[in-house]
Amino acid sequence: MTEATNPLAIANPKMSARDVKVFYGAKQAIKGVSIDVDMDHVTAFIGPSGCGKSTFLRTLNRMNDTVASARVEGTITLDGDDIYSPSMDVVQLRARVGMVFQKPNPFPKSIYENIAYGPRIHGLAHAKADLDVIVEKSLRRAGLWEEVKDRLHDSGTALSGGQQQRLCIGRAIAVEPEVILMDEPCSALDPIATAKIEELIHELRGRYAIVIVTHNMQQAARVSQCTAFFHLGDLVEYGVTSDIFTNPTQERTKDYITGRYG
Amino acid sequence: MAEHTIKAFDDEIDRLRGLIAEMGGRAEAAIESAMIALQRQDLALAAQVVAEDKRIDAIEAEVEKLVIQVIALRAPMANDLRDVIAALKIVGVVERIGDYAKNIAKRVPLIMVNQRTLEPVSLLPSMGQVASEMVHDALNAFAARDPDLAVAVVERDTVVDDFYNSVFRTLVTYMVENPKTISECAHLLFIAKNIERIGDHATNVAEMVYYAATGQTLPDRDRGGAAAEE
Repeated sequence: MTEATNPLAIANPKMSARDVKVFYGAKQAIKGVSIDVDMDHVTAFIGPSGCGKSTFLRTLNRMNDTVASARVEGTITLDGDDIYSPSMDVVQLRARVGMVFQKPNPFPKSIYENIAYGPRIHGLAHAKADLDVIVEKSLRRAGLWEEVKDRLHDSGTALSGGQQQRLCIGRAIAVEPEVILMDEPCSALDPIATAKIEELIHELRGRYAIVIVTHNMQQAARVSQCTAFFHLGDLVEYGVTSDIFTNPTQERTKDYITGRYG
Repeated sequence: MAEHTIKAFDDEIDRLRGLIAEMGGRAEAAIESAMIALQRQDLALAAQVVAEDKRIDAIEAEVEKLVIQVIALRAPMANDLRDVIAALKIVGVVERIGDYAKNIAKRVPLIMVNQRTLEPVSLLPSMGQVASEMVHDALNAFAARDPDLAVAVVERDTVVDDFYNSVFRTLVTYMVENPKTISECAHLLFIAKNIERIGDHATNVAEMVYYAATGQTLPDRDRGGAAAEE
């Protein structure tokens, strides 16, 4: 296991990618990426638009399956199991590897139903009392409970943007995932809502492996312990966040994070 | 080095570097002038060194203000961050170097009272020369982001320390033999100590330059130090 793949020398990575290549038709979007992530550290993916960071994030729970032209090579494992193996249940995989998107996308249902839906279809709970427990626990972990506990049956879409995003995080948490993927979760939020999400990420660390894609380098610096810099489909550098932002080893990383022409 | 996409950031960095170059030049000149004033017993020149120290202090304040502004508005990263932090630390040290030069200049009239040629006075200019060259090279290393030049400065510190030890011994011997010169010799000893401290400060600047340029701290080396004092 090289330092470049696993800068913190994580002994038991939750997910491991090895030589992952992604093609959209003939175009290669990811050129052989190897990376480990675990539950104790937040990993940030940074890089300019089109660098492949979101594409790579989406390989981690097979969201690229929904893109007809997309083809993935290499191996990605979750607890050692190949997630692209034919025996892998993709629905189950996406419960274990949850995702939060750029724009908050709550279901057009009540706050309660937004959280209860996943556990119900995954068979985690059926009785109302059990669901109540899951809803409260998930909303508490998402840092939203105090704000919504008296209006659980209002529509989720009536919440503010920041609250909607925390609702989506609560929804992902409700199905007891092991990994949470976040694709620019704060880019549609104001600084206060952003700070709340960042604080939430900090609180969730240790319970889930968290991978966040962000265009905001300060955000990557604030929330992550490991940072991966992508450029033109390459994983240019993967390192401890404080090293990446004070002393990156690669010229391309340096030019990007210091705001120079690459 | 490639330019920043935001040009105003480059302008601010350039201004910062320009101010430090000016400050370094002034500190170096202050050391040289103070030593000339001492040798020639030139009171006017000594007074000028004291007066001009104000400009060095003013540049320090200006750089501090600019650094805070750059950190707040530009959020510098990586080598930019190291550069800006080094700039902030360097001006603090160069300001101290200026103070030592000023202190030397202030002692010039006190030594003039008794116009005797003391042997150690002949050693001090060479010692001052090495120290001011160290300051010069340390700031050149910053301007050029040259870690090798920074290392060369650090290595030269032992020369200044050796000078100091030699001057110290000479002065002590002289004082024992000529008790009437104790007051003057004490001033000369302080001057030698000031120059020795300037060498140490130049070394500190060089270490900061090395870190800013490479992202690595200079490995600790076994320095001679001023044995007579420690």
